[in-house]
Amino acid sequence: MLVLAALLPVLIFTFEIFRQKARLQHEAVERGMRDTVRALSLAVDREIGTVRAILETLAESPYLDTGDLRSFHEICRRALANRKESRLILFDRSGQQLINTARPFGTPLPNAFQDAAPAQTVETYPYLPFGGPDPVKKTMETGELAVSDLFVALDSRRPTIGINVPVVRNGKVLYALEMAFHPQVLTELLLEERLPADWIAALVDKKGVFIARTKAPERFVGRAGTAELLSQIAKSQEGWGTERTFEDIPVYHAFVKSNLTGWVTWVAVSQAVITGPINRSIAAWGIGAIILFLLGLTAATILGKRISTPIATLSPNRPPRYNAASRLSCALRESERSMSFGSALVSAGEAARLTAVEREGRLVEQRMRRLAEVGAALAESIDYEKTLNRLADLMVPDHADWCVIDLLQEDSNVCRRVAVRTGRKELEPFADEFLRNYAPDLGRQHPILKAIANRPIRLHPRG
Amino acid sequence: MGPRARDDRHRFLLEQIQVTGFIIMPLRVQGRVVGAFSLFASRYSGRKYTMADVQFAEEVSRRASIALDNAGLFRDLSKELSERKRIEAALRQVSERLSWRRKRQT
Repeated sequence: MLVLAALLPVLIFTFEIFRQKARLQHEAVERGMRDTVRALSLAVDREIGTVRAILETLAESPYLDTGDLRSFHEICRRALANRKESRLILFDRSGQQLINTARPFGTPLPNAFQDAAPAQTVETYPYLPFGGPDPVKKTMETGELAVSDLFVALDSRRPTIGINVPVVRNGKVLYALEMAFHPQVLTELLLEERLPADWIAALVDKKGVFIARTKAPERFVGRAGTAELLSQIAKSQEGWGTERTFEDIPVYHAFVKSNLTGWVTWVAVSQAVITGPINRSIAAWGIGAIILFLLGLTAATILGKRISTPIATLSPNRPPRYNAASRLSCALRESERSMSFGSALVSAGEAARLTAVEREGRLVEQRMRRLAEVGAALAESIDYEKTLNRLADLMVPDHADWCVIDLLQEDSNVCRRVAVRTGRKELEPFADEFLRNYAPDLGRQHPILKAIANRPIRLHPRG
Repeated sequence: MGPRARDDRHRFLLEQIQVTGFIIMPLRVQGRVVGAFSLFASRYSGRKYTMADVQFAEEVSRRASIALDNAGLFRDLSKELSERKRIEAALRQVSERLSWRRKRQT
């Protein structure tokens, strides 16, 4: 419990880090998609701006002042040398096409207002109106640029976009000049931005119909967007969110509406593409965290056992002289109950310190007491041998397993063994033998003799 | 390293003790080393000596030395006293013998 209590805050902290990381990654994706969609929208506006510049230049042609439409037809045809997919159409105020660069000059041409028809007229494009009279009318009426939605052209019977500018003379709009082109031009424009392969970009017109789409344009151009998308587009100029595509794939999408064209530029990416790396990243972090957690748990458990085992052996059934150890055990148990790891450590540390201090104190006290006993015992007798035998008795078993006392014979080189004591009863006969028969031989390099002769203190640990 | 065995029996005894460590302190009388006081640790107890044990043994040896010193002094005093008593007794005998002779002469 103690270990878990210590690791619980780490777990919560780790979980919070994962949550923050996922949130930040989602925010980064959102930011990236918003930036991308704005860039695409600007690219489209730039293209429309280029078309507008061409149209406005042609609208100032002096051939239109003189009514020389053949020459104007020719100059328009030349102006489209680099735009093979486009054509230029001049409408008069009744909607009649006067010139159409897709047709030779003089060919009979349709009337935009009279020949137009609502959607479902053209079987192959049931969602699109036949003809695009609205922007022509708007240009005639307002004298301003008008950008059409997607419609089926009267002449080619193919989906078409028309950009209209007025031809104004003496303050009056005499004509509308339109550049019409297949929406594939816009799809190619989006493709030129080289989005990641799993991203989809599209243009949606003011009626919510796809004008261009980087994935499967042949299936989706001319179709209305999903209801979910259309409702989000209707609510704001710009947005980010989730939806399901026609293929029922959940996607994150971002969109922005152009003030110039009224079209919506839209990018989408599968949620799996976004969340996959995030989830993989989180999974990797999670696995790493779990491994570290388990390692930490194992280490903490081992460490905990190292601390608790000696305490457990000390505390329960020991005599009262181990009361400090009991306090240590109690302190740990109490701390564990209160789930306070910090206070447990402090209590354990304090109790351990007390134990060490008390143990040291006990040893000092025991030694002082034994020294006092030694002093008293030594004072009891003036007989050498009695005194030294008493000394040997006091040394075993608390201070030695064996105690041996040797004396040099007065005025001789003979060493006499005065006392041999052992702490084990069964070894006492051996002690007697050592006493009687094996006093240090002065002719040998006995450590006792070395100590007598040369060095006062010898401490020989032997493993 | 312990003492080398003097014979087979000594070797056997040393093997039984299984010494793992020892402290040997000199015993002094009037500054002169007169003997040694040795503490041994055996394998069977698992005892290991530390510097604290050395200090304790040093203190014991110092007190034992003092006791031996006192005992030596006492023995010397006793010897001196008995010598004096012997001399006094001898003097008394001489004195008694002299006074007996004087009485006899008078």
